[in-house]
Amino acid sequence: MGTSETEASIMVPNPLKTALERVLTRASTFNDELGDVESPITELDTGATWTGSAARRYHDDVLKPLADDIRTAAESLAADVEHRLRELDDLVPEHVAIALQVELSIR
Amino acid sequence: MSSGRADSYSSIDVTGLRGVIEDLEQSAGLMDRTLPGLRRDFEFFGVDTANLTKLSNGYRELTTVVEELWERHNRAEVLLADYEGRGLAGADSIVRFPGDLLDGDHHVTHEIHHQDGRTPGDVHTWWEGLTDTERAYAISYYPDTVGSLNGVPIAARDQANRRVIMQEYTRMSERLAELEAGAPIDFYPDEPNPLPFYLDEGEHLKERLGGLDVIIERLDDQPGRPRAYLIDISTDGLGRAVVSIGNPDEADNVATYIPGTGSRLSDGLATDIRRTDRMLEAADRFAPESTTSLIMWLGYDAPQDVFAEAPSPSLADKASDNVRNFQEALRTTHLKGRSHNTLLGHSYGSTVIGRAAREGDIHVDNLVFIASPGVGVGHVSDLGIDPDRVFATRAKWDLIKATPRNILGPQPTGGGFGATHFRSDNSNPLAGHSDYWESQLARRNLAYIIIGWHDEVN
Repeated sequence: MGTSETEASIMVPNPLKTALERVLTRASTFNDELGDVESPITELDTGATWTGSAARRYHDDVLKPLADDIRTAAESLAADVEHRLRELDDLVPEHVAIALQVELSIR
Repeated sequence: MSSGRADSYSSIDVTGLRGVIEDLEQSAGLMDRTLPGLRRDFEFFGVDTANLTKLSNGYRELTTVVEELWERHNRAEVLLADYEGRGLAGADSIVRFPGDLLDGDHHVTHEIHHQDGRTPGDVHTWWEGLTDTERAYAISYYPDTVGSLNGVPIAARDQANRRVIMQEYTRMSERLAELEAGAPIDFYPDEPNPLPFYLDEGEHLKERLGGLDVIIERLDDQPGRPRAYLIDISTDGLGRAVVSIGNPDEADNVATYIPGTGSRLSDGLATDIRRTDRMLEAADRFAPESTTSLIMWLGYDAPQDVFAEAPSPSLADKASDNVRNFQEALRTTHLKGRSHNTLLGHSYGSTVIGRAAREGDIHVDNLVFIASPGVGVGHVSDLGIDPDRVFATRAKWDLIKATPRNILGPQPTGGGFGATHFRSDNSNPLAGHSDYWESQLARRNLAYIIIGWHDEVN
Protein backbone atom coordinates (compact mmCIF):
# COMPACT_ATOMS: atom_id res chain seq x y z
CA MET A 1 0.00 0.00 0.00
CA GLY A 2 2.77 2.34 1.02
CA THR A 3 4.63 1.43 -2.18
CA SER A 4 1.66 2.24 -4.40
CA GLU A 5 1.11 5.56 -2.63
CA THR A 6 4.73 6.40 -3.35
CA GLU A 7 4.27 5.41 -7.00
CA ALA A 8 1.06 7.45 -7.24
CA SER A 9 2.74 10.55 -5.93
CA ILE A 10 5.38 10.79 -8.66
CA MET A 11 5.10 14.35 -9.88
CA VAL A 12 5.59 15.32 -13.51
CA PRO A 13 5.37 18.64 -15.45
CA ASN A 14 1.82 19.86 -15.83
CA PRO A 15 0.78 19.24 -19.49
CA LEU A 16 -1.83 21.98 -19.23
CA LYS A 17 0.89 24.48 -18.56
CA THR A 18 2.95 23.27 -21.51
CA ALA A 19 -0.08 23.54 -23.80
CA LEU A 20 -1.03 26.96 -22.45
CA GLU A 21 2.49 28.22 -23.10
CA ARG A 22 1.86 27.47 -26.76
CA VAL A 23 -1.31 29.55 -26.56
CA LEU A 24 0.79 32.33 -25.03
CA THR A 25 3.08 32.18 -28.04
CA ARG A 26 0.12 32.44 -30.42
CA ALA A 27 -1.37 35.36 -28.48
CA SER A 28 1.97 37.18 -28.57
CA THR A 29 2.45 36.51 -32.29
CA PHE A 30 -1.06 37.80 -32.97
CA ASN A 31 -0.27 40.97 -31.05
CA ASP A 32 2.96 41.46 -32.98
CA GLU A 33 1.30 40.92 -36.34
CA LEU A 34 -1.53 43.26 -35.44
CA GLY A 35 0.99 45.99 -34.71
CA ASP A 36 0.21 47.68 -38.01
CA VAL A 37 -3.43 48.37 -37.24
CA GLU A 38 -2.54 51.85 -36.09
CA SER A 39 -0.34 52.80 -39.04
CA PRO A 40 -3.12 53.28 -41.61
CA ILE A 41 -5.21 55.13 -39.05
CA THR A 42 -2.28 57.38 -38.30
CA GLU A 43 -1.93 57.97 -42.03
CA LEU A 44 -5.55 59.17 -42.09
CA ASP A 45 -4.75 61.45 -39.16
CA THR A 46 -1.57 63.11 -40.33
CA GLY A 47 -1.32 62.43 -44.07
CA ALA A 48 -3.06 63.89 -47.10
CA THR A 49 -5.10 60.76 -47.80
CA TRP A 50 -8.32 62.21 -46.48
CA THR A 51 -8.62 65.78 -45.27
CA GLY A 52 -11.40 68.04 -44.06
CA SER A 53 -13.73 68.36 -41.12
CA ALA A 54 -15.56 65.09 -41.84
CA ALA A 55 -12.25 63.28 -41.92
CA ARG A 56 -11.26 64.86 -38.62
CA ARG A 57 -14.51 63.89 -36.97
CA TYR A 58 -14.33 60.37 -38.31
CA HIS A 59 -10.77 59.96 -37.08
CA ASP A 60 -11.38 61.42 -33.63
CA ASP A 61 -14.78 59.83 -32.99
CA VAL A 62 -14.44 56.46 -34.70
CA LEU A 63 -11.00 55.45 -35.93
CA LYS A 64 -8.78 56.54 -33.08
CA PRO A 65 -10.94 55.07 -30.27
CA LEU A 66 -11.30 51.87 -32.27
CA ALA A 67 -7.56 51.55 -32.86
CA ASP A 68 -6.91 52.25 -29.16
CA ASP A 69 -9.40 49.61 -28.06
CA ILE A 70 -7.97 47.01 -30.39
CA ARG A 71 -4.40 47.82 -29.45
CA THR A 72 -5.05 47.74 -25.69
CA ALA A 73 -7.02 44.50 -25.83
CA ALA A 74 -4.48 42.78 -28.08
CA GLU A 75 -1.62 43.77 -25.80
CA SER A 76 -3.52 42.41 -22.79
CA LEU A 77 -4.03 38.95 -24.24
CA ALA A 78 -0.55 37.77 -23.30
CA ALA A 79 -0.98 39.09 -19.76
CA ASP A 80 -4.29 37.23 -19.47
CA VAL A 81 -2.62 33.98 -20.45
CA GLU A 82 0.37 34.60 -18.18
CA HIS A 83 -1.98 35.24 -15.29
CA ARG A 84 -3.62 31.89 -15.84
CA LEU A 85 -0.25 30.21 -16.23
CA ARG A 86 0.74 31.45 -12.80
CA GLU A 87 -2.37 29.88 -11.34
CA LEU A 88 -1.51 26.44 -12.70
CA ASP A 89 0.69 24.02 -10.80
CA ASP A 90 4.08 23.42 -12.33
CA LEU A 91 3.91 19.73 -11.44
CA VAL A 92 1.01 17.30 -11.16
CA PRO A 93 0.82 13.60 -10.20
CA GLU A 94 1.66 11.36 -13.12
CA HIS A 95 -1.83 9.82 -13.33
CA VAL A 96 -3.34 13.30 -13.38
CA ALA A 97 -0.93 14.29 -16.15
CA ILE A 98 -2.00 11.25 -18.15
CA ALA A 99 -5.67 12.16 -17.75
CA LEU A 100 -4.91 15.76 -18.75
CA GLN A 101 -3.00 14.56 -21.81
CA VAL A 102 -6.01 12.52 -22.85
CA GLU A 103 -8.27 15.51 -22.35
CA LEU A 104 -5.93 17.74 -24.35
CA SER A 105 -5.76 15.24 -27.16
CA ILE A 106 -9.51 14.90 -27.58
CA ARG A 107 -10.59 18.54 -27.18
CA MET B 1 -5.95 65.57 -36.72
CA SER B 2 -3.36 68.17 -37.34
CA SER B 3 -4.55 71.71 -37.00
CA GLY B 4 -4.41 74.37 -39.65
CA ARG B 5 -6.25 72.50 -42.38
CA ALA B 6 -8.90 74.47 -44.18
CA ASP B 7 -12.41 73.28 -43.28
CA SER B 8 -14.04 74.76 -46.33
CA TYR B 9 -13.25 71.77 -48.49
CA SER B 10 -12.33 68.14 -48.11
CA SER B 11 -10.10 66.00 -50.22
CA ILE B 12 -9.46 62.32 -50.77
CA ASP B 13 -6.43 60.80 -52.41
CA VAL B 14 -8.12 57.87 -54.13
CA THR B 15 -4.96 55.79 -54.44
CA GLY B 16 -3.83 56.59 -50.92
CA LEU B 17 -7.18 55.75 -49.40
CA ARG B 18 -7.24 52.44 -51.22
CA GLY B 19 -3.89 51.57 -49.65
CA VAL B 20 -5.12 52.52 -46.18
CA ILE B 21 -8.25 50.42 -46.55
CA GLU B 22 -6.32 47.43 -47.83
CA ASP B 23 -4.04 47.64 -44.78
CA LEU B 24 -7.06 47.75 -42.48
CA GLU B 25 -8.54 44.79 -44.32
CA GLN B 26 -5.37 42.85 -43.62
CA SER B 27 -5.73 43.56 -39.92
CA ALA B 28 -9.39 42.55 -40.03
CA GLY B 29 -8.42 39.38 -41.88
CA LEU B 30 -5.83 38.51 -39.25
CA MET B 31 -8.41 39.00 -36.49
CA ASP B 32 -10.94 36.94 -38.37
CA ARG B 33 -8.48 34.06 -38.76
CA THR B 34 -7.05 34.14 -35.25
CA LEU B 35 -9.69 35.18 -32.72
CA PRO B 36 -12.04 32.16 -32.97
CA GLY B 37 -9.17 29.73 -32.25
CA LEU B 38 -7.87 31.81 -29.38
CA ARG B 39 -11.36 31.96 -27.89
CA ARG B 40 -11.67 28.17 -27.95
CA ASP B 41 -8.30 27.84 -26.21
CA PHE B 42 -8.95 30.59 -23.69
CA GLU B 43 -12.22 28.98 -22.68
CA PHE B 44 -10.65 25.53 -22.45
CA PHE B 45 -7.78 26.67 -20.25
CA GLY B 46 -9.94 29.00 -18.16
CA VAL B 47 -8.20 32.21 -19.32
CA ASP B 48 -10.13 35.45 -18.80
CA THR B 49 -11.87 36.23 -22.13
CA ALA B 50 -12.81 39.87 -21.44
CA ASN B 51 -10.09 41.25 -23.72
CA LEU B 52 -10.84 38.69 -26.39
CA THR B 53 -14.44 39.85 -26.35
CA LYS B 54 -13.27 43.44 -26.76
CA LEU B 55 -11.21 42.33 -29.75
CA SER B 56 -14.19 40.53 -31.28
CA ASN B 57 -16.26 43.69 -30.90
CA GLY B 58 -13.38 45.69 -32.37
CA TYR B 59 -13.22 43.31 -35.31
CA ARG B 60 -16.91 43.84 -36.06
CA GLU B 61 -16.52 47.59 -35.83
CA LEU B 62 -13.43 47.46 -38.02
CA THR B 63 -15.32 45.63 -40.77
CA THR B 64 -17.97 48.35 -40.67
CA VAL B 65 -15.27 51.02 -40.86
CA VAL B 66 -13.67 49.25 -43.82
CA GLU B 67 -17.04 49.11 -45.56
CA GLU B 68 -17.65 52.81 -44.97
CA LEU B 69 -14.17 53.75 -46.15
CA TRP B 70 -14.64 51.70 -49.33
CA GLU B 71 -17.88 53.58 -49.86
CA ARG B 72 -16.02 56.88 -49.64
CA HIS B 73 -13.26 55.53 -51.85
CA ASN B 74 -15.73 54.37 -54.49
CA ARG B 75 -17.53 57.68 -54.55
CA ALA B 76 -14.21 59.52 -54.74
CA GLU B 77 -13.25 57.25 -57.62
CA VAL B 78 -16.45 58.17 -59.46
CA LEU B 79 -15.65 61.83 -58.85
CA LEU B 80 -12.13 61.31 -60.17
CA ALA B 81 -13.50 59.63 -63.29
CA ASP B 82 -15.79 62.62 -63.70
CA TYR B 83 -12.80 64.96 -63.36
CA GLU B 84 -10.94 62.97 -65.97
CA GLY B 85 -13.93 62.95 -68.29
CA ARG B 86 -14.06 66.73 -68.14
CA GLY B 87 -10.30 67.20 -68.35
CA LEU B 88 -10.12 68.50 -64.79
CA ALA B 89 -7.96 65.79 -63.25
CA GLY B 90 -4.41 66.60 -62.31
CA ALA B 91 -1.43 64.26 -62.30
CA ASP B 92 -2.38 62.97 -58.83
CA SER B 93 -5.44 60.99 -57.80
CA ILE B 94 -6.84 63.62 -55.44
CA VAL B 95 -10.43 64.83 -55.57
CA ARG B 96 -11.79 67.82 -53.70
CA PHE B 97 -15.36 68.40 -52.62
CA PRO B 98 -17.37 70.27 -50.02
CA GLY B 99 -18.59 68.46 -46.90
CA ASP B 100 -18.63 64.69 -46.76
CA LEU B 101 -19.07 62.31 -49.67
CA LEU B 102 -21.36 60.19 -47.50
CA ASP B 103 -23.83 62.94 -46.60
CA GLY B 104 -27.29 61.64 -46.04
CA ASP B 105 -27.92 58.72 -48.29
CA HIS B 106 -24.91 56.49 -47.93
CA HIS B 107 -26.97 53.49 -46.86
CA VAL B 108 -28.49 53.31 -50.34
CA THR B 109 -25.26 52.10 -51.81
CA HIS B 110 -24.87 49.42 -49.20
CA GLU B 111 -28.34 48.15 -50.00
CA ILE B 112 -27.91 48.31 -53.74
CA HIS B 113 -25.32 45.57 -53.65
CA HIS B 114 -27.81 43.27 -51.96
CA GLN B 115 -30.47 43.48 -54.67
CA ASP B 116 -28.83 41.20 -57.22
CA GLY B 117 -30.57 37.82 -57.23
CA ARG B 118 -33.64 39.04 -55.33
CA THR B 119 -37.11 38.67 -56.81
CA PRO B 120 -38.53 41.58 -58.82
CA GLY B 121 -41.07 42.04 -56.03
CA ASP B 122 -38.38 42.41 -53.38
CA VAL B 123 -36.36 44.77 -55.55
CA HIS B 124 -39.47 46.83 -56.19
CA THR B 125 -40.26 47.06 -52.48
CA TRP B 126 -36.71 48.30 -51.82
CA TRP B 127 -36.94 50.87 -54.62
CA GLU B 128 -40.32 52.16 -53.49
CA GLY B 129 -38.88 52.68 -50.01
CA LEU B 130 -36.23 55.11 -51.23
CA THR B 131 -36.61 58.86 -51.25
CA ASP B 132 -36.34 60.75 -54.54
CA THR B 133 -32.87 61.92 -53.52
CA GLU B 134 -31.76 58.38 -52.79
CA ARG B 135 -33.09 57.14 -56.12
CA ALA B 136 -31.32 59.94 -57.96
CA TYR B 137 -28.16 59.08 -56.09
CA ALA B 138 -28.39 55.38 -56.96
CA ILE B 139 -28.95 56.18 -60.64
CA SER B 140 -26.02 58.61 -60.71
CA TYR B 141 -23.50 56.45 -58.91
CA TYR B 142 -24.62 52.93 -59.84
CA PRO B 143 -26.32 53.23 -63.23
CA ASP B 144 -25.25 49.79 -64.43
CA THR B 145 -26.70 48.12 -61.34
CA VAL B 146 -29.96 50.10 -61.28
CA GLY B 147 -30.30 49.68 -65.03
CA SER B 148 -30.14 45.91 -64.90
CA LEU B 149 -32.36 45.30 -61.85
CA ASN B 150 -35.68 43.65 -62.63
CA GLY B 151 -38.18 45.27 -60.29
CA VAL B 152 -36.92 48.84 -60.70
CA PRO B 153 -39.51 50.86 -62.66
CA ILE B 154 -38.83 51.15 -66.38
CA ALA B 155 -38.46 54.93 -66.37
CA ALA B 156 -35.69 54.71 -63.75
CA ARG B 157 -33.94 51.87 -65.57
CA ASP B 158 -34.08 53.92 -68.75
CA GLN B 159 -32.56 56.90 -66.98
CA ALA B 160 -29.73 54.74 -65.61
CA ASN B 161 -29.11 52.85 -68.84
CA ARG B 162 -28.89 56.02 -70.89
CA ARG B 163 -25.89 56.88 -68.74
CA VAL B 164 -24.45 53.41 -69.17
CA ILE B 165 -24.77 53.40 -72.93
CA MET B 166 -23.02 56.75 -73.30
CA GLN B 167 -20.23 55.68 -70.95
CA GLU B 168 -19.79 52.46 -72.90
CA TYR B 169 -19.89 54.28 -76.21
CA THR B 170 -17.14 56.64 -75.08
CA ARG B 171 -15.03 53.86 -73.59
CA MET B 172 -15.24 51.63 -76.65
CA SER B 173 -14.72 54.46 -79.13
CA GLU B 174 -11.60 55.58 -77.31
CA ARG B 175 -10.24 52.05 -77.20
CA LEU B 176 -10.89 51.58 -80.90
CA ALA B 177 -9.11 54.83 -81.69
CA GLU B 178 -6.15 53.65 -79.59
CA LEU B 179 -6.04 50.36 -81.45
CA GLU B 180 -6.21 52.02 -84.82
CA ALA B 181 -3.39 54.39 -83.91
CA GLY B 182 -1.05 51.60 -82.84
CA ALA B 183 0.38 48.28 -83.96
CA PRO B 184 -0.71 44.80 -82.79
CA ILE B 185 2.45 44.28 -80.76
CA ASP B 186 1.71 47.44 -78.73
CA PHE B 187 -1.45 45.90 -77.33
CA TYR B 188 -0.54 42.22 -77.09
CA PRO B 189 3.20 42.27 -76.32
CA ASP B 190 3.14 38.82 -74.70
CA GLU B 191 1.60 37.07 -77.68
CA PRO B 192 3.95 35.45 -80.21
CA ASN B 193 1.45 36.35 -82.92
CA PRO B 194 -0.52 39.39 -81.73
CA LEU B 195 -2.28 40.05 -85.00
CA PRO B 196 -5.34 37.76 -84.53
CA PHE B 197 -5.95 39.14 -81.04
CA TYR B 198 -5.62 42.68 -82.28
CA LEU B 199 -8.00 42.07 -85.18
CA ASP B 200 -10.52 40.25 -82.94
CA GLU B 201 -10.62 43.08 -80.46
CA GLY B 202 -11.04 45.66 -83.19
CA GLU B 203 -13.84 43.63 -84.75
CA HIS B 204 -15.55 43.19 -81.38
CA LEU B 205 -15.40 46.93 -80.69
CA LYS B 206 -16.70 47.88 -84.12
CA GLU B 207 -19.54 45.43 -83.91
CA ARG B 208 -20.69 46.50 -80.43
CA LEU B 209 -20.35 50.17 -81.37
CA GLY B 210 -22.54 49.46 -84.38
CA GLY B 211 -25.21 48.08 -82.04
CA LEU B 212 -24.88 51.02 -79.65
CA ASP B 213 -25.24 53.40 -82.60
CA VAL B 214 -28.55 51.79 -83.56
CA ILE B 215 -29.89 52.01 -80.03
CA ILE B 216 -28.70 55.56 -79.43
CA GLU B 217 -30.39 56.63 -82.63
CA ARG B 218 -33.68 55.04 -81.56
CA LEU B 219 -33.46 56.56 -78.08
CA ASP B 220 -33.30 60.01 -79.61
CA ASP B 221 -36.70 61.63 -79.22
CA GLN B 222 -38.01 62.65 -82.60
CA PRO B 223 -41.39 64.09 -83.51
CA GLY B 224 -43.79 61.53 -84.88
CA ARG B 225 -42.35 58.44 -83.31
CA PRO B 226 -43.05 56.97 -79.86
CA ARG B 227 -40.49 57.39 -77.14
CA ALA B 228 -38.04 54.53 -76.64
CA TYR B 229 -36.81 53.26 -73.26
CA LEU B 230 -33.54 51.47 -72.66
CA ILE B 231 -34.34 48.72 -70.16
CA ASP B 232 -31.04 46.86 -70.23
CA ILE B 233 -27.69 47.17 -71.96
CA SER B 234 -24.34 45.42 -71.78
CA THR B 235 -21.42 45.16 -74.16
CA ASP B 236 -19.94 42.06 -72.53
CA GLY B 237 -19.57 39.05 -74.80
CA LEU B 238 -22.22 39.10 -77.50
CA GLY B 239 -23.90 42.01 -75.74
CA ARG B 240 -27.31 42.46 -74.19
CA ALA B 241 -29.99 44.96 -75.16
CA VAL B 242 -33.58 45.42 -74.11
CA VAL B 243 -35.37 48.35 -75.75
CA SER B 244 -39.03 49.19 -75.39
CA ILE B 245 -41.07 51.41 -77.61
CA GLY B 246 -43.46 53.09 -75.20
CA ASN B 247 -43.34 52.63 -71.44
CA PRO B 248 -44.58 49.14 -70.51
CA ASP B 249 -45.26 50.27 -66.93
CA GLU B 250 -47.99 52.56 -68.25
CA ALA B 251 -49.34 50.58 -71.19
CA ASP B 252 -52.58 48.58 -71.39
CA ASN B 253 -50.94 46.04 -73.68
CA VAL B 254 -47.33 44.94 -73.38
CA ALA B 255 -45.59 42.65 -75.83
CA THR B 256 -42.04 41.32 -75.66
CA TYR B 257 -40.36 40.16 -78.83
CA ILE B 258 -37.37 37.80 -78.57
CA PRO B 259 -35.21 37.49 -81.69
CA GLY B 260 -33.41 34.30 -82.66
CA THR B 261 -30.24 32.91 -84.20
CA GLY B 262 -27.61 35.46 -85.18
CA SER B 263 -28.89 38.18 -82.84
CA ARG B 264 -26.27 40.11 -80.93
CA LEU B 265 -25.35 43.69 -80.10
CA SER B 266 -24.48 44.83 -83.62
CA ASP B 267 -25.97 47.01 -86.32
CA GLY B 268 -28.20 44.02 -87.13
CA LEU B 269 -30.33 45.11 -84.16
CA ALA B 270 -31.77 47.78 -86.43
CA THR B 271 -33.88 45.03 -88.02
CA ASP B 272 -35.22 43.83 -84.67
CA ILE B 273 -36.01 47.34 -83.51
CA ARG B 274 -37.73 48.07 -86.82
CA ARG B 275 -39.86 44.95 -86.35
CA THR B 276 -40.75 46.15 -82.86
CA ASP B 277 -41.75 49.56 -84.18
CA ARG B 278 -43.85 48.00 -86.92
CA MET B 279 -45.73 45.77 -84.48
CA LEU B 280 -46.49 48.79 -82.33
CA GLU B 281 -47.69 50.78 -85.33
CA ALA B 282 -50.07 47.98 -86.23
CA ALA B 283 -51.37 47.61 -82.67
CA ASP B 284 -51.92 51.37 -82.35
CA ARG B 285 -53.70 51.47 -85.67
CA PHE B 286 -56.25 48.87 -84.58
CA ALA B 287 -56.61 49.97 -80.96
CA PRO B 288 -55.90 53.69 -80.76
CA GLU B 289 -58.02 53.96 -77.62
CA SER B 290 -55.63 51.77 -75.63
CA THR B 291 -51.90 52.17 -75.06
CA THR B 292 -49.45 49.52 -76.16
CA SER B 293 -45.75 49.04 -75.54
CA LEU B 294 -43.51 46.75 -77.56
CA ILE B 295 -40.22 45.47 -76.19
CA MET B 296 -37.27 44.06 -78.12
CA TRP B 297 -35.63 41.67 -75.65
CA LEU B 298 -32.13 40.49 -76.40
CA GLY B 299 -31.39 39.50 -72.83
CA TYR B 300 -29.71 36.24 -73.70
CA ASP B 301 -26.84 34.83 -75.72
CA ALA B 302 -28.51 33.80 -78.94
CA PRO B 303 -26.91 31.08 -81.06
CA GLN B 304 -24.73 32.59 -83.76
CA ASP B 305 -24.38 29.60 -85.99
CA VAL B 306 -27.36 27.82 -87.51
CA PHE B 307 -25.59 24.48 -87.76
CA ALA B 308 -23.27 24.48 -84.76
CA GLU B 309 -25.37 26.13 -82.01
CA ALA B 310 -28.99 26.53 -83.04
CA PRO B 311 -29.74 22.78 -82.99
CA SER B 312 -29.06 22.71 -79.25
CA PRO B 313 -31.54 23.90 -76.58
CA SER B 314 -28.77 24.74 -74.12
CA LEU B 315 -28.68 28.49 -74.87
CA ALA B 316 -32.48 28.60 -74.60
CA ASP B 317 -32.33 26.85 -71.24
CA LYS B 318 -29.72 29.31 -70.01
CA ALA B 319 -32.10 32.14 -70.93
CA SER B 320 -35.15 30.66 -69.19
CA ASP B 321 -34.73 32.27 -65.78
CA ASN B 322 -34.01 35.67 -67.35
CA VAL B 323 -37.11 35.49 -69.50
CA ARG B 324 -39.43 34.59 -66.62
CA ASN B 325 -37.78 37.08 -64.30
CA PHE B 326 -38.21 39.88 -66.80
CA GLN B 327 -41.85 39.04 -67.41
CA GLU B 328 -42.46 38.90 -63.66
CA ALA B 329 -40.81 42.31 -63.36
CA LEU B 330 -43.17 43.75 -65.97
CA ARG B 331 -46.08 42.59 -63.82
CA THR B 332 -44.44 43.97 -60.69
CA THR B 333 -43.67 47.48 -61.89
CA HIS B 334 -46.83 47.99 -63.91
CA LEU B 335 -48.75 51.04 -62.73
CA LYS B 336 -52.30 50.66 -64.01
CA GLY B 337 -53.71 47.39 -62.77
CA ARG B 338 -52.99 44.29 -64.82
CA SER B 339 -51.80 44.76 -68.38
CA HIS B 340 -52.45 42.35 -71.23
CA ASN B 341 -49.05 40.78 -71.82
CA THR B 342 -47.73 38.83 -74.78
CA LEU B 343 -44.44 37.06 -75.36
CA LEU B 344 -43.38 36.52 -78.97
CA GLY B 345 -40.42 34.54 -80.18
CA HIS B 346 -39.02 34.37 -83.67
CA SER B 347 -37.10 31.28 -84.74
CA TYR B 348 -34.77 30.28 -81.88
CA GLY B 349 -36.47 33.02 -79.82
CA SER B 350 -39.57 30.83 -79.87
CA THR B 351 -37.51 27.95 -78.46
CA VAL B 352 -36.42 30.29 -75.68
CA ILE B 353 -39.95 31.24 -74.66
CA GLY B 354 -41.33 27.72 -75.02
CA ARG B 355 -38.69 26.22 -72.77
CA ALA B 356 -39.02 29.10 -70.28
CA ALA B 357 -42.79 28.56 -70.10
CA ARG B 358 -42.27 24.83 -69.64
CA GLU B 359 -40.07 25.37 -66.57
CA GLY B 360 -42.16 27.84 -64.56
CA ASP B 361 -44.69 30.66 -64.43
CA ILE B 362 -44.12 32.78 -67.52
CA HIS B 363 -46.39 35.64 -66.32
CA VAL B 364 -47.98 36.39 -69.71
CA ASP B 365 -51.43 36.08 -71.26
CA ASN B 366 -50.30 35.01 -74.74
CA LEU B 367 -47.43 33.11 -76.27
CA VAL B 368 -46.67 33.54 -79.95
CA PHE B 369 -44.31 31.27 -81.85
CA ILE B 370 -43.13 32.69 -85.17
CA ALA B 371 -41.22 30.40 -87.52
CA SER B 372 -40.39 28.04 -84.71
CA PRO B 373 -37.98 25.12 -85.04
CA GLY B 374 -39.49 23.58 -81.86
CA VAL B 375 -40.30 24.81 -78.38
CA GLY B 376 -39.37 21.93 -76.11
CA VAL B 377 -42.89 20.65 -75.45
CA GLY B 378 -45.24 18.48 -77.47
CA HIS B 379 -48.51 20.19 -76.65
CA VAL B 380 -49.89 23.60 -75.67
CA SER B 381 -51.08 22.18 -72.36
CA ASP B 382 -47.45 21.90 -71.22
CA LEU B 383 -46.85 25.66 -71.46
CA GLY B 384 -48.60 26.71 -68.27
CA ILE B 385 -51.01 29.24 -69.80
CA ASP B 386 -54.50 29.06 -71.28
CA PRO B 387 -54.04 26.75 -74.34
CA ASP B 388 -56.35 29.04 -76.34
CA ARG B 389 -53.80 31.81 -75.93
CA VAL B 390 -50.93 29.99 -77.64
CA PHE B 391 -50.45 31.08 -81.25
CA ALA B 392 -48.11 29.88 -83.98
CA THR B 393 -47.33 30.70 -87.58
CA ARG B 394 -44.96 29.59 -90.28
CA ALA B 395 -44.81 30.89 -93.83
CA LYS B 396 -45.22 28.48 -96.68
CA TRP B 397 -41.67 28.78 -98.01
CA ASP B 398 -39.88 29.07 -94.71
CA LEU B 399 -37.16 26.41 -94.68
CA ILE B 400 -37.41 26.15 -90.88
CA LYS B 401 -40.09 23.56 -91.50
CA ALA B 402 -37.28 21.15 -92.47
CA THR B 403 -35.98 21.09 -88.88
CA PRO B 404 -36.38 17.49 -87.63
CA ARG B 405 -38.62 17.14 -84.55
CA ASN B 406 -35.91 15.31 -82.65
CA ILE B 407 -33.75 18.46 -82.57
CA LEU B 408 -35.76 20.98 -80.51
CA GLY B 409 -39.07 19.15 -80.24
CA PRO B 410 -42.14 19.21 -82.50
CA GLN B 411 -42.89 22.46 -84.27
CA PRO B 412 -45.85 24.34 -82.76
CA THR B 413 -47.43 24.68 -86.20
CA GLY B 414 -47.82 20.90 -86.30
CA GLY B 415 -51.32 19.43 -86.16
CA GLY B 416 -51.04 17.71 -82.81
CA PHE B 417 -49.52 20.63 -80.95
CA GLY B 418 -52.80 22.42 -80.29
CA ALA B 419 -51.76 26.03 -80.92
CA THR B 420 -54.01 28.49 -82.74
CA HIS B 421 -52.49 28.98 -86.19
CA PHE B 422 -52.51 32.32 -87.89
CA ARG B 423 -51.56 33.27 -91.40
CA SER B 424 -48.42 35.17 -92.25
CA ASP B 425 -48.29 34.85 -96.01
CA ASN B 426 -46.40 37.46 -97.89
CA SER B 427 -47.19 39.07 -101.18
CA ASN B 428 -43.80 37.73 -102.22
CA PRO B 429 -44.38 33.97 -102.54
CA LEU B 430 -40.71 33.29 -101.99
CA ALA B 431 -40.52 35.20 -98.71
CA GLY B 432 -38.60 33.17 -96.21
CA HIS B 433 -37.56 32.85 -92.60
CA SER B 434 -36.84 36.52 -91.92
CA ASP B 435 -39.67 38.18 -93.82
CA TYR B 436 -42.60 37.85 -91.43
CA TRP B 437 -42.65 41.53 -90.53
CA GLU B 438 -42.86 42.40 -94.22
CA SER B 439 -46.20 40.61 -94.34
CA GLN B 440 -49.15 42.87 -93.71
CA LEU B 441 -51.21 39.82 -92.81
CA ALA B 442 -48.69 38.70 -90.19
CA ARG B 443 -48.44 42.17 -88.68
CA ARG B 444 -52.20 42.44 -88.49
CA ASN B 445 -52.54 39.07 -86.76
CA LEU B 446 -49.74 39.89 -84.37
CA ALA B 447 -51.45 43.17 -83.54
CA TYR B 448 -54.75 41.37 -82.89
CA ILE B 449 -53.04 39.05 -80.42
CA ILE B 450 -51.17 41.86 -78.72
CA ILE B 451 -54.27 44.02 -78.20
CA GLY B 452 -56.41 41.05 -77.19
CA TRP B 453 -58.67 40.76 -80.23
CA HIS B 454 -58.19 37.03 -80.23
CA ASP B 455 -61.35 36.28 -82.22
CA GLU B 456 -60.01 38.31 -85.14
CA VAL B 457 -56.86 36.25 -85.50
CA ASN B 458 -56.97 34.18 -88.65
